[in-house]
Amino acid sequence: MLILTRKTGEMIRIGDDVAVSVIEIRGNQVRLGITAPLSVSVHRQEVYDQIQEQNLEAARARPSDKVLIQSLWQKRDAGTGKK
Amino acid sequence: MKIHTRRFGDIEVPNELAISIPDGILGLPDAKRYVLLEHDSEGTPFKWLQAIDNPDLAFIVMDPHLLVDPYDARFDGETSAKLGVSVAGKEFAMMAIVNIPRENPIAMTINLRAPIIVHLEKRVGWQVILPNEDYPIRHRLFPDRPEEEPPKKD
Repeated sequence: MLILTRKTGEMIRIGDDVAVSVIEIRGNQVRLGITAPLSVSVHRQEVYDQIQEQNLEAARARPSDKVLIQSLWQKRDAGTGKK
Repeated sequence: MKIHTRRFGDIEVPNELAISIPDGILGLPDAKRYVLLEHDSEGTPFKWLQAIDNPDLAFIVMDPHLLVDPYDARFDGETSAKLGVSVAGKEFAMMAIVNIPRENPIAMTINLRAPIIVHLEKRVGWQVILPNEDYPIRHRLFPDRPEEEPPKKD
């Protein structure tokens, strides 16, 4: 990991197309501005991690009780008055 | 084409039904080809997204519109840039990954925040993280029912 120290108002350039700007520092919070092309995704790390974790858990899951799951849906549809 | 699957055995699927997910599902980047199956899903809105090249790997998925209508899946620029098409609702199918805990099926959750979006004609798709922070990554499908002690999650 490359570690750089920046002051408010300073920027970092990543590759040719991505720039990170330090907008404001308040206490232990940093406000960052990110400029990137539309094809590059930018997300908070926690969101990314949680989605990955959920995907892996879902991939491992082995639902076994088909009858129970069907009856849950029947009750649900009955409750909401759907078809 | 013939696909080997652990859950459904060997099955024959028309080649044109294959879906390419070039970036893979987050956390599983190596699986890039999938097919949608409806085995074992009568009486439920679920389908299976089965990896073509990994017999063990399959997700239960569901159209999120069945739970949330309207479902605000406005594509950000990233997705339309990747797909190389301008976005129009009818060209895309959406599926959200469902997680059914075996020991407590009532507590099943669906990921509304990061659906898999597939361009139906091009047969290509991505798992997209939607900007709408109101959509949970783990949304309970059956919130009304009392449940046993839920499994500890972090």
